[in-house]
Formats: sequence, structure tokens, C-alpha cells
Amino acid sequence: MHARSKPNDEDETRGPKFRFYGEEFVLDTISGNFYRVTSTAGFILRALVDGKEQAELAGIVERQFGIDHARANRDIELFLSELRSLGIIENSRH
Amino acid sequence: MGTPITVAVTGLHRGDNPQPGAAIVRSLRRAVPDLRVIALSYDPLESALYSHGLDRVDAVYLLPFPRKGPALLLDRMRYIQKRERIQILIPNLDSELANFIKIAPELEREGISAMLPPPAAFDARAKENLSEFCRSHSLSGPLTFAAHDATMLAYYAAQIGYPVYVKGKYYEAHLVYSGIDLAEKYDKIARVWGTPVLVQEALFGDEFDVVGLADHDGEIIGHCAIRKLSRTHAGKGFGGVVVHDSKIVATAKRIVKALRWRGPFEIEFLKGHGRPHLLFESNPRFPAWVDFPSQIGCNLPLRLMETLLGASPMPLDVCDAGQMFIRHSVDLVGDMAELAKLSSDGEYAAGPLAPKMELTS
Repeated sequence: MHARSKPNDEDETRGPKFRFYGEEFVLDTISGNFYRVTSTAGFILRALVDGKEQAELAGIVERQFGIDHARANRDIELFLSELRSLGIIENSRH
Repeated sequence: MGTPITVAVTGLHRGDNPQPGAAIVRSLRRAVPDLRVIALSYDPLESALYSHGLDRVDAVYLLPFPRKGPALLLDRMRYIQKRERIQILIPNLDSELANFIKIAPELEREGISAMLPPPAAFDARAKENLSEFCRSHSLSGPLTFAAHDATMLAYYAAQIGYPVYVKGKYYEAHLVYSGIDLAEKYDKIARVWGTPVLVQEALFGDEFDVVGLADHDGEIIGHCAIRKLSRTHAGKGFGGVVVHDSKIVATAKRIVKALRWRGPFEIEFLKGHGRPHLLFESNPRFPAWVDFPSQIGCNLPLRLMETLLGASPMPLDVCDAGQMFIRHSVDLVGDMAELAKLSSDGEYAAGPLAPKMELTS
């Protein structure tokens, strides 16, 4: 038996909603669901977790993947819609 | 070395519908290697009686079946206590708990301590009272009715609308799509578990479980919440992943507080997409997966034992989201002489006869 460092307390259980395992695997720590994602989807999800807003995100995706702004915007919008419909992100955000 | 702590545990079968006892023994013995474990069993073929591993037991005594009532159980416990110096009792089967709650004061006088809920709390969370409990505490739960005959069960099922779950008051559940199947399942369940038989709205979604331990004031001492990753055809979790969902934990705290629960518990929730968590069951004991949190720093059976012994407790870790378990079945080696002795005498304290490969390798 050894001393523990973290108390078993509700306040301590809150951490990031998403936990990434490499580029293509992500765990939703609240629902316990996990997903295999494309590296592009993983990149966008990480950016969202880092607090990037949709408008800002399009520019980042545009630069990262060398695509035009309109396509980046559309791809992000489609991706966010899918995340919302699956309940992975909430409607109020983004 | 001093005298080992002696703990009595029930529910030692780990088949496709595993009981919690062996998991509790593993949790305790990992922390206290010289623990003495007394198995209280209803069946000489309970699998953990033949274990040579961490979940092995030191002596086995058969108990009268729960339907025989508390008086016979008390007689048997007194007989066992004359041979063993049991300090802690951890009963793990829903069907036996009412009897143990009734005889708890006498057991205490015999030197046997247990952390059991008050009778009113035990009744309030019973499956047949779940709907009323949810209603009176503004909790979401599936529509549930209790019936003492097949006709009333069919009436309630029609009110709910098929498909429905037909459930025993302690164990067993079947998904039923029509009145024809309903009558058959009613007979099957009533024969084994008695009445009432329950009929419950069939809801589908992910299953979430919270295992925990509550103190004397209905406060949670420690807990671990999981989503079931895989289930058997009977709905038993054979894998799970830790989740950090503050809504589930807050609801579990409300339930435990409302019940003024004391001791181990497992609260089960069901969540469909876009719907709130529904209270599915509230079980008055540790679940069979309780050794999973023990292995990641949240040893609830150990805390239970420490509490009953008045020992200073080890802090409990937060279970880390993403930690997961997968159940793994193994083959245990026994000797027919053990089964014969246990079946004939109702007790067996000589230790395993079969090769102790797991211990010596």
C-alpha cells in the first residue's frame, strides 16, 4: 500500500472532454465513446479543444492542408454538423 | 506476524453472470496478503471456491438458501462463528441481503461487523419500487410495474407498449415482444425468483454504472463511473471504460443521499442519444467489476474493511477516464474430493487439493 496523490472527489474528476491517442483515435471522456478519425478530422478536433473558433479554424485548415478558404469553411461546417448530430459536441458551441 | 484479519464473503461464482465475491477477495488480498477469507456459499460449484490465485478462499461453509429466512441463517452463522473468528462480513447477493440486514444486530454481538443499508433504504431502491422512487425524487427512469400474476403483468405490458423487459425482483431479465412470450417468461421468472415479477419499459442506449461506497450519513466516500463497453446476452458488463461525467456522479450522490444509503452500491443508468440519463437499477452491493477500480487506485472493498475495523483509511484515487477493463475467463483446476467433502459436510476448510500451479509458478 502506498500514499495516493489525488483524492476521490467530484471536483477532481473534471478534465478535458477529449483525450487523443495519436493522430487518429480519440476518447470522449464524458460519454466513454471512442472514435477512429481521419488525421484531418483529428487535426480539426484538436484545434477545437484548444479553443479555436470556427472562423479562425478555417484559416488554420486552409494553411495546414493547402486548400482554398471556401472549401476549408465548408469541410469544417460539415464536420461540426456531424459532431453535433452524434452528440459529440453541443449545439451551443461553435 | 499478528492474527490475520478474517473476512467472510458471499457470491463467489464467476460464470457468464458473475457475482462480486471473487472480485472483492482479489481487491482485499492484493492490499492485505495474509487476509483469511471465509467463503459463504449456496452451491458447492461456485467457481471461486476452486481458485488458487489472489481470489482463493481459506475455508468454505454452505449457507441455507435465502428463502429459508433469517432465523436459519443466524443459526448457521453462529455455528460458523464458533469455528472461525469472522470480523467482517461482506454479503454480495441481492437475494440474501434482506436476511443479513435483519440479523445484523445479532451478528454484531457475535463479533461480526457489516456495512449494510437501513431496511427502509433497501426497500426504497428495490426494483419493484424504482418507479415510485424516481417519481418522488424527480429522477428520470423507465416506467416499471410489479405484478403478482400473469394477467396483471400483461395488463401493465399493454399499458407500456411492446417490447418490454420482464424482470425478476432480484435477477434475470428478458426482452419480450408479445403477450405470448410474456406469459412464458412470467412463469419462468416466478418459478425461480418468486413474485412480484416486473415489467419495464424497454429503453435502449449506452449503459453507465457507478460503483461506490457510502458512509453512515449517505455521503459517497469513493466512486468510479464507467460506460459498459461490452455486454453479455443477459446485459452483464464484460468490459467498461472510466468516464468523467459530473452529471452521472451528481445524480448518484443525490440518490445515495436521498436513500441515506450506507455501504456498497452500484447505480446503473441508461442513456439514449439526446435524452437524459435514466436510473435503471440501484443495486445494494458492489458489482462484479469492483476489482477494476481497485487496480487503478480506488480500492472500495479495502475502504469498506478499513471503515469496519476502525483503521485509518488509505486515500482513494480518482479513476482516470480512459482506463478500461475487459473480463477474461480462465479455467480453474479442482479435485473431486473437494466437491465431495463440501457437498457431503457443507463445509471445507482443508485448503485446495488440486495443484497450486498459479501460486508457485
